Amino acid sequence: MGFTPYVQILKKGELMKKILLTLLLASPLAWAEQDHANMHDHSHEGHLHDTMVDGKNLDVSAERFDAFMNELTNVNVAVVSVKGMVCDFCARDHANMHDHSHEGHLHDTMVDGKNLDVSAERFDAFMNELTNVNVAVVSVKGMVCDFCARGIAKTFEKDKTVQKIDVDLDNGKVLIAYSKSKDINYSEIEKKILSNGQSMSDLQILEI
Amino acid sequence: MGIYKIIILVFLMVFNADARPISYSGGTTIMYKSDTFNDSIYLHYSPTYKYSIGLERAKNKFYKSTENYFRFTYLVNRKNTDISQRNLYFQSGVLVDDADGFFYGMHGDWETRRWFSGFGYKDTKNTFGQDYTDQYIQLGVAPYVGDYGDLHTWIMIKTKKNSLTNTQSTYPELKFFKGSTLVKFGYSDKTEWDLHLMYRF
Repeated sequence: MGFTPYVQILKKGELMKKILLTLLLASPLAWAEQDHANMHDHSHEGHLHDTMVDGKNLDVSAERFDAFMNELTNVNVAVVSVKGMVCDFCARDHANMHDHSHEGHLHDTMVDGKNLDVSAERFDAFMNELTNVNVAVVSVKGMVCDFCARGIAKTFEKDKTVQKIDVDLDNGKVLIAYSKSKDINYSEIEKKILSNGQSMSDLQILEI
Repeated sequence: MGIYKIIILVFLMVFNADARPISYSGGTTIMYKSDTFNDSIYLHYSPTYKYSIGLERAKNKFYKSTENYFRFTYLVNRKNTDISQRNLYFQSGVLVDDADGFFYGMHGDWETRRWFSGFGYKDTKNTFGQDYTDQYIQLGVAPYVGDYGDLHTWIMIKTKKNSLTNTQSTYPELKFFKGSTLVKFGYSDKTEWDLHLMYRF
């Protein structure tokens, strides 16, 4: 049994994560039925993530899949999409990613390849006693002083779905913990930042 | 009233550059300033991030008069980067009880978390005496870079000139702010104390 995490950002600024956890279980894939008894007799290059017979886009690179299948025979493959597996460490660890500390890895190994630039200590302190939230990590330009940031905090505090806010002046980030029920919206956050006179340059959403 | 006010009005209507709040949108600020020329208390409100409106009551120490102004400040331009912010403001005020008395001017600043620079120019049309101008330039450095919620400190140097008193002075200032409160004071043997208190809510 094993797995391979894989994440893809589907649109700018939004951490739409899909992890394909490939397990050697049931759920046979249709192409396997058509083509092979031994699936390693051919390369999957160019077709695996384009032409699945169920019409879905599998979003697994052919190279990754080939490497995964190397030396495997007589297996079926289940491909599982998982939300909330935001970093490599979490992928190895989790049912609940906050059972562990993010120390030393949070800003290094986001699986979307971006650098979150929030210190692990800060993130852990922020998450302390929070449950059932998603976190928006907002990159803000022009947030050069405490006074500027205070307006941002006050603006977001008016939103009843906001559970907690933290400002990281060093890295120009605002952490906003939203209730799970909130559909975190890029343009809504961008407008609120702009209403305070700063500009948003990026948004990452950690589904926790 | 006259050509100046029309120019100011046109100026305000024409400018539509990207700007930011004087305070944040919906924010109210109260400030007290005292220097060799004026003691004033000023309350302003920012309906949007682009401008503020307010009332100022100033005691003019030179003329020994009290002046009440309607004030309007507009952020003409702002440039945000990852590490800095640059602002250019237009400021104006008109006497509540005599529209022939008014002032207008520009002030601007550029700052990072460590460095600050600013300038200001104000032209006052006086109804009970000579017209005059105020100008200043200011430079500052933060001796340490504080985190959100910390006490923040700036060491600054300011040079200012007033055409009515014909004085120019250069003096050090200290600025502290924490949360929504700001305190700034400086001292010069020519102009004595320069005090500025501000609270934003």
